[in-house]
Amino acid sequence: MPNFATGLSALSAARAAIETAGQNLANANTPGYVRQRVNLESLRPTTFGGQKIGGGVGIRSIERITDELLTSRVRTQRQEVGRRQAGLDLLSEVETIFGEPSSSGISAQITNFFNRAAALSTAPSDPQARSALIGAGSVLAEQVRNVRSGLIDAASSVRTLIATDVADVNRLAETLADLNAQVIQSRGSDGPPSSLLDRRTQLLDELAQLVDLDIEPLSSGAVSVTVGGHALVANDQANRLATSIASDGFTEVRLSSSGSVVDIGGGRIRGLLDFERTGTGDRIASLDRLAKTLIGGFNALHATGIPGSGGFDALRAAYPIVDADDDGDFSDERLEAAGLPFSIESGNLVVTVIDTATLDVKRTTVAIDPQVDSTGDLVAALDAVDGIKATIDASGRLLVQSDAGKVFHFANIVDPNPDSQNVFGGKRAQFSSSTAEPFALTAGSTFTVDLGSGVPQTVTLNAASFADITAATADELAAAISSSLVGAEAINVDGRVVIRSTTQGSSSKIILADGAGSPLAALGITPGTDFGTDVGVAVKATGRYTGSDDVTFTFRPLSDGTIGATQGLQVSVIDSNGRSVAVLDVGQGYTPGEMIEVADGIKISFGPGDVSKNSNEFFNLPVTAESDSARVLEAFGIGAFFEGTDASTISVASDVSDDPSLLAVGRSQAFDANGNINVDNGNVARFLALRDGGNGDLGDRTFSEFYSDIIAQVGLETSSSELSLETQTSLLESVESRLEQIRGVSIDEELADLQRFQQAYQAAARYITAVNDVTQLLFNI
Amino acid sequence: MAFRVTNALTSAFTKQNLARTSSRRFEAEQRVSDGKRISRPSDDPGQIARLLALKRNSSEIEQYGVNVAESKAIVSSANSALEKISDLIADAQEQTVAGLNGASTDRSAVASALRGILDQVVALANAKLGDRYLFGGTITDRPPFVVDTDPSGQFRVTYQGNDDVFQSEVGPGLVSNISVPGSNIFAGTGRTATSFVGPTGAAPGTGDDSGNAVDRLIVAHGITTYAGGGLTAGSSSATRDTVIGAAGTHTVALTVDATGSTGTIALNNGTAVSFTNPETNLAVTGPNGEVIYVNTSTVTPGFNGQVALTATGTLSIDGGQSSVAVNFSNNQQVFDAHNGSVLNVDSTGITRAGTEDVSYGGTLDLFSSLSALANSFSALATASDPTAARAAAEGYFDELKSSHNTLLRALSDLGTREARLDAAEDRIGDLDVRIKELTSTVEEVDFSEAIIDYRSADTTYQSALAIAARVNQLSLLDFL
Repeated sequence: MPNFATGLSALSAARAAIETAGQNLANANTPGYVRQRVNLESLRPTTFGGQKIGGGVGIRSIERITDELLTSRVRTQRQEVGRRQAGLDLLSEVETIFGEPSSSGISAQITNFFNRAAALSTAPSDPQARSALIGAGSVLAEQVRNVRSGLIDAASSVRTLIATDVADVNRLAETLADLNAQVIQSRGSDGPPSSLLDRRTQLLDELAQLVDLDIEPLSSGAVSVTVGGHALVANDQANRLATSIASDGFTEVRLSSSGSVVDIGGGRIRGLLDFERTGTGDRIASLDRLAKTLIGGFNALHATGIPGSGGFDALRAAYPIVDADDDGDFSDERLEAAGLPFSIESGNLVVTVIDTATLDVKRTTVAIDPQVDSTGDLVAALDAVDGIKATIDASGRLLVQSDAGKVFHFANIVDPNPDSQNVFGGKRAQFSSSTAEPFALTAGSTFTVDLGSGVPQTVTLNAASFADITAATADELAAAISSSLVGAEAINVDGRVVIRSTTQGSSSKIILADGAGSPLAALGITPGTDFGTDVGVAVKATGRYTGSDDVTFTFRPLSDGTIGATQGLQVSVIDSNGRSVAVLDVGQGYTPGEMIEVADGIKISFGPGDVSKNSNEFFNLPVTAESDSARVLEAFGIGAFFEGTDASTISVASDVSDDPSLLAVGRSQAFDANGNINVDNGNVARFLALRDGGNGDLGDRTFSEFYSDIIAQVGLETSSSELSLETQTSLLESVESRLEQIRGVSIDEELADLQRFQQAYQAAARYITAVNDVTQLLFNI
Repeated sequence: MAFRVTNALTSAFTKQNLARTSSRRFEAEQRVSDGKRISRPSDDPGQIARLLALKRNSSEIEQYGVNVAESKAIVSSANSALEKISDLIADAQEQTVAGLNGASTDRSAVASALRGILDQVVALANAKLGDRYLFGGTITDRPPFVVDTDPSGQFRVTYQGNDDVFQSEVGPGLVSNISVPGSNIFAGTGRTATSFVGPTGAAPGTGDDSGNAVDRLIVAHGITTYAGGGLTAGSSSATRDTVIGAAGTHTVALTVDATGSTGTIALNNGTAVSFTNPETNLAVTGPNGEVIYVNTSTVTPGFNGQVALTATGTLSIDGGQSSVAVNFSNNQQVFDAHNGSVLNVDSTGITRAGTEDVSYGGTLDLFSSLSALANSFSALATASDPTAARAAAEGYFDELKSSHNTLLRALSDLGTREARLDAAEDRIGDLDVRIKELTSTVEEVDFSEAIIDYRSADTTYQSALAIAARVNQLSLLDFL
């Protein structure tokens, strides 16, 4: 007996297949849609006349055709792409912030700044050229500050992006938890609806772009999602994530519930976190290093230069000192602990004070040891320099001011007036022994010294003053005599003893008279009266010391005579190491006042007058290789061109920008007979040498080279990030296409199925008609 | 399994292809339109540092170019001022030669012509470029040369500048001196013998002198004393006698009548002068114009013979500020109290008071030579005996020639400097071109290449579009 049931089962199977094809066609373009297939099976047969005939067709299942392995590979790949895309977007932004190569970037501004300095070499006194250098410095500083704040902004905008992405993660997690709940509910009936599963796949794909996921399907049909070892979604529960700033200043992601840190290993958020940590930090640090080196290096040169006016009236430090031990006293910290941005070394600071009316120049050397001296010691030492006052102002800044009618600077000039005591030529009243040591004296012998007052001072020679009074040395005798006299003294000149007034000039007078034991006779001194004279020899020094050691040159006449007149008169120059540096011919043939080369760039001239070897006339000319070997000026920012300590604070010192005449273009100065101070343009060459030389603090690179390297790194990072994004994207495309091959809908295929099942349906209908006809026949029997 | 081409896949591929080809086309288009191969560091990180360095070099070189141009302006202005001075000196030399050979009436004209030249030379030596004086060393804000007279009334030119130089940066590590200190340009050629022109009999001593340019040695009379014949100095003797010398240098012949009331007196065998006592201030002039004033009131009656005359004197080169007594030795040192310079005088031959024009050979600067030359022409025009003035003029003419030589040396030095700046300018020009070339190689695109790239990107894009259109048309639906 033909069976309606078989036909019916065929009809419904064909209808199910047609509907599935329809569903597939309808979702051909739905993202994440997994195509379905109806799996048919023939039904259990019924026994018919001893023969088993099939019982029709049944629907075994509607299968979602996908590949879980590929799906998870796609997700992993999405994390990679998401992470790199986030990094690249931000790196491109960094590139834009630096804005290189361009005519307005930092590179061009560094060049322009030093070019303006070079322009000063042809027009050192041109106020416009000075303003141009200051203006270029301001623009450079501003550009550095802008780039740095751009980088800071980029870093902080990353935080906003991270927060947004974390909110997205939370939203997705909650939706996933919801879906899980629905899937579990529908589990009881005939399995979860495919649409729920598709939706879940899609959400997991989205989530995979943001973070790295571990997905585990559960027997309940739900999936658990773990991020960085912490459950994000468990069954119908979602854990929320939150962002906070960690102690190292960077963003971290935590679980809201437990507060434990979630280590995100991939996806966009990882990319953003990575960028926050490394994308700008190194650049900012490099920029700060560049700025600080420029500030320190340029300031050190500028502070030891001379402004066009010949000196400064007042200089205020750019950096305040810090009360590190918090005892309310700003000046008791040692210099190394005074909180200054640059370090102070053990060395010297040379201060030059100039009287603008008399052009009297005083050069004072202050020795500094940052491990021993406090800021108070430094202030006191500077304050003690005649003509300037040093104080710490209310803001903790060192302030150096000159007295009225004086100016000062810290340039390494040669003391133009080394014989400020007027030792050369200005003769004292004196007597010299005609014999040399040893002197045969008698203990207790006496002589008298009258300085013209009529009240003689008596000198008694005691045996105690000598090792052997019968063979007294000149040193012993000089000490013994000096100790008993006021207003007069005795010195040792080549083994002879010279008894002389402590003053010079015509008012100085000595009357010697022998006493008991006639010691003067033993010395070969004829008692009598001697007067000093007024005529001094004007000594002028000039030039720029080119030696590398700090030394003192001592000038001594080699005989007695008149400058420019006495045949063979010479002055010897000996340095502090006892080395003979030069012997200068100043006798007949020398025009008084004519500059003579001494050594190492130093020149000296002697005015008319008499000089004497026998009076032990000599003067010292100390010269230094560097005027601030202690680097005090750089550390305090005294006479600074730039202020600030890093790329965020660099600016041109307001004192200089307010008054361009304070720009220290000169390196040496000359004082002419007309009362003028003339300043050269020697500092320009030093500025350019700074530009062209490697800086130790920048790994022996120039400013421009160091900056170029930053830019090259930025470019390299961006381009390598571009390249890897490209690679990862094409990998993603490839796995996605493989997955799509499996789960995607082919309209052609579905149309073919449609055709097929339409025919199957028609066939089933035909079968039913056939059965019906057969049945009808039976009824008609 | 055969490759399943699903619809989503097809459209994804199409989209990816279109995106890729259109972005490649956009990049190619951008390169063609702005001509830049590197517009951001990531375009070529390997070359960006080089590009920045090239741009920096280019900008530095531009600045060096400006510095060279400015330095050249200064040096060539100095050069042309010195050339004009040189022409003027050549003119002065011609005038001098003509003046020395011409008639005495022309000589005052020569003197004033020379003074005119001196004024022009001083004006040129104070030449300016813009507002900077050219010949003052690093002092550019005031005239380097000031002309006045010194305390002893001598012509004096004071150099207000200094010997320092400004160094202009004209190339990497290359500096050029852009200052021309006038102190050296107008100086003499170096010290030679000192010469004296004057009537006193003073001569150069044996020591080295240290004065510069010209000086005036004043040989002043001190006291005249007489031994014999009862002759004494007249009341004006101290101030007006011009004789100087030890006993025997000058002779006085005295003849007195028996009563001592009249007589005659003659100096150095000159014209005898009669006197009638009492006579307390009788002027007696010798054959060479030397004068003594005598008091004959107490002459010995009947005296007839020689009276020994001794006259002291002093020497001064500072206008009388300081002086030393004449000691008739072969080397006396006379100091200038103003500047400490020393003049060595052979005083053995001094016989009378007067002034000696002292010229320190080889130390006369151009101005002093011109001035002294003009003065000697004035003297030449008025002197009754021109021998001395002529000798002086010839001496100063030599000095002028020697300082002209110094000037010519300075000129040739400036010429060298200008040539060096020219070379620097050329070099900078070359470098500029080369660096621009290099920059363009690194930074700019090769246009033909870029256009070909663009074409190919465009073609690829268009084919992608065409294929997309075709692919989307294909469907089984069309054939059912």
